[in-house]
Amino acid sequence: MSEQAPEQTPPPVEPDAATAEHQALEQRVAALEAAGQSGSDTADTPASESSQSSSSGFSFELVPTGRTHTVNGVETPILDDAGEPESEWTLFATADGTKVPLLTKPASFVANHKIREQRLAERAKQSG
Amino acid sequence: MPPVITSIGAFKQNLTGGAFEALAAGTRDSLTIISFPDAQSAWVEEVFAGNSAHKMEVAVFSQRFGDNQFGLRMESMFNPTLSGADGVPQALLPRTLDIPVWSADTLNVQVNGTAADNADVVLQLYYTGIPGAGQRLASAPQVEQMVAMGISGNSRVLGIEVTVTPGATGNYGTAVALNTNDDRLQADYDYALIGYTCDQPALSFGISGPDTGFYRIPMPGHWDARHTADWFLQASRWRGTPHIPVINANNKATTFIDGFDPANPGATKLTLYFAQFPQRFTG
Repeated sequence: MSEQAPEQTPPPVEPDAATAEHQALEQRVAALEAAGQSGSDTADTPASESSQSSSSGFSFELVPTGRTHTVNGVETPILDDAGEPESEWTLFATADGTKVPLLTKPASFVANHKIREQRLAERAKQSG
Repeated sequence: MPPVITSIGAFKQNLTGGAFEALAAGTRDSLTIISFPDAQSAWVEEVFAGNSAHKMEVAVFSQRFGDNQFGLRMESMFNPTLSGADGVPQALLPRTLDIPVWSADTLNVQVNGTAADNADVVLQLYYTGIPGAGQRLASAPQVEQMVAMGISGNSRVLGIEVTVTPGATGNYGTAVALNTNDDRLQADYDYALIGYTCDQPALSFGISGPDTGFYRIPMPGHWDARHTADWFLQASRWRGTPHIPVINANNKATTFIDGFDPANPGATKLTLYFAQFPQRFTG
């Protein structure tokens, strides 16, 4: 029977690049929400409901993509139809208090599906 | 009479669903095959299909294309695990089996899908000759030989980025000039367009300009870059005919790219792979 190794205290964890990136993402989301942009095009849906307070769960949030392209030799944010830096919907899972992005969909793509649902509701109303 | 590659984009927003229904041709496109002389031929080489929310069935037919009922009937898959475009595009035809079309025949493009969905279908056509039209097309051995010459032959390979947004309602979006974002082609040199990569899937992009006879050459925005990075090189190898568009750098501002997709994927970054010809390409 082997002797059990003495329990060691783990060294303090330095924030790595991924953590820093995640924090930056959260700050951008907070800034967007503060600016009233989050879910602005889907105000009738609870899409931006956050689960940050619970240790596990899901949330679907509008976050900036951060994509750029070269225009006249300068890296410039890609803009959406409204002339603002483009955003995308991101499905986050919060697992044991850590928030991880699972899936992203372009904002225009989600808006397209919202129109589809509205069409179906309209048809149901007409046929009902 | 040089050959021409072109495409027909067809789309419908808000499908009725539950039965086959007709799609309409996109802007600048027609479902009628271009008239060509008896000595020439033409084929449908590829069919790319996409649906915004579900799987669907596609039928391309005419009295002389298959039969006048369902003709070439195809299944289009839907894969919602992919980011952006849910498995669009599906390439529905065999790689090398091309289906002849008749001069001036009008094709029907229909889909059977789910109510309220949007559907887009693109046919890639190859004409061996159209009176008054022609494209500068190279073959795979010509381009491979040139790239292999490398520095000694003053040939270089570049990737030119262009950001293209397909139309919001299933039709073609605003066309963007080749040099809008990335203006690095060397003046007066010819470049072979080997293939491309895109940062999210989209049904199809089209490139057209003076060197394509202003015919739109389709480029499916497949999620797997292995399919797209050498798209035109492979198309030439599969068929043994010139399929690689040659663009002169002086036409960069009049060569345009546009996008076609059923689900409004938004701005898509597209990088076109160009191999520079050391001397003027003479065909």
